Amino acid sequence: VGESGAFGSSAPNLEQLMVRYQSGDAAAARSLVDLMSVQLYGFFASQMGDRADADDMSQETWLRIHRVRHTYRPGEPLLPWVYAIARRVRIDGYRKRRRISSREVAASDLPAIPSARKQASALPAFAELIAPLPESQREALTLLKVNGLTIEEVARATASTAGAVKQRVHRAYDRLRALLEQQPSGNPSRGGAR
Amino acid sequence: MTCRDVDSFIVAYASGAEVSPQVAAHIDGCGRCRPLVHAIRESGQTTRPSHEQLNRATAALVTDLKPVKPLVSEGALLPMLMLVLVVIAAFGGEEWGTAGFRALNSLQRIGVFFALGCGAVLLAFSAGRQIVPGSRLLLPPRLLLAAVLGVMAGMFAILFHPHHESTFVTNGLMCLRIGLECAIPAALLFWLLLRRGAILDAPLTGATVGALAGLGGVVVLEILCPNLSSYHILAWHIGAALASTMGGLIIGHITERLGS
Repeated sequence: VGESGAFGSSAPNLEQLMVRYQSGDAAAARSLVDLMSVQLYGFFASQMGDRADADDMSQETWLRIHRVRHTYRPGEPLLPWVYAIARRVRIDGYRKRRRISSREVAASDLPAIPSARKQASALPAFAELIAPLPESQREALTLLKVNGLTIEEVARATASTAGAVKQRVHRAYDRLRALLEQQPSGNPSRGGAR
Repeated sequence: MTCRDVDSFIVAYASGAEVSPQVAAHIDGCGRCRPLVHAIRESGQTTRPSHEQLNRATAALVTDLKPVKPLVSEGALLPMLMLVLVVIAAFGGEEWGTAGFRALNSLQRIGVFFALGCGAVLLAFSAGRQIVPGSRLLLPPRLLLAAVLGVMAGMFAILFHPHHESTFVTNGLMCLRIGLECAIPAALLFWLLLRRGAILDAPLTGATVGALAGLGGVVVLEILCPNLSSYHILAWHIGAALASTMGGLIIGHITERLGS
């Protein structure tokens, strides 16, 4: 029995919709956007902490999904396919922003742009909860909680193994438990224990 | 029941899904798990995409929407990748002869070609899965790559013995050159077969394809080179596979940088 998130591991008809989308059905494409946009947006919002970034990355993910839609294999679960692409968009976006910001700083010798962490008050609540965790643990918990993937699907989406994901989740929970013990009535990210 | 035992049910329980009575009893009675579940339950997703964003996403998908031909199946791709290696090996045997194969004893023949065959199948399998996002992996590709090359080197170190040779570098460079001359066309053919896929991690896929092509070079070298010194084989034959892997990694990095 694996961990399953808030939305269950296989939302109805997603796979069939994807196959219809591959065959050029515009109504199926619209349904996919309707069914998946909120969770996809949540994936970025929980980890980026910035609404504009989440908007941009969601859009970039849909563009990439459109470009590589032929690589989805009918019969396979759709969510790992989508979130593997979304994860790559996030990594590429992070690298691009880091490159741009380092160039800007080098050119004008300005102080660094405030990080998303400093804007913690603008983060959604789940992002605040997981903010003290390392990136790989944040990602695993987000995919489980916000996106409703199972452990096996998280492993597929992150090019990892189920055992490694379980280990990551155990460590994340252990750390959150310890932080919540220190701050019984508060949010762990506000306790400053990082 | 321990806290670790219920970790697999934390999100499900927080989301209101049914869990076994033992799990529920532990969570409700545990001073460490109860606050965690409460925190996760209360930390609902509060942000949603805007209507404009949804419209843009829909437009991205339906604009110029045409039917697409799905990627070739894994069952068809794997034999095609292996066929490339066979063609390269046959070409190498024809071009440079088979003195190496004839110099091997039975145990060495079985060991060398079994190890090369298994390594090639595993790498081809990994490359085929890397071009399909969200594929199930038996091992993380980085680990698989290191394991294949490491086991190959270990196997060769066991099967062959060291001999002193005065022309270690001269002979070695010749083998390295031939190995790479075979690996480069193999890599190009692999790229032709894999290019329709979605390459999410270009350096890793590049290294995997480079290693697979490098094994093609090693196959040719084992067929042609009669030098059975373990130093020579490890340094120059396995070295050709390593150089090919590095070449794939570098090309992958360059591709990724140009793409972004």
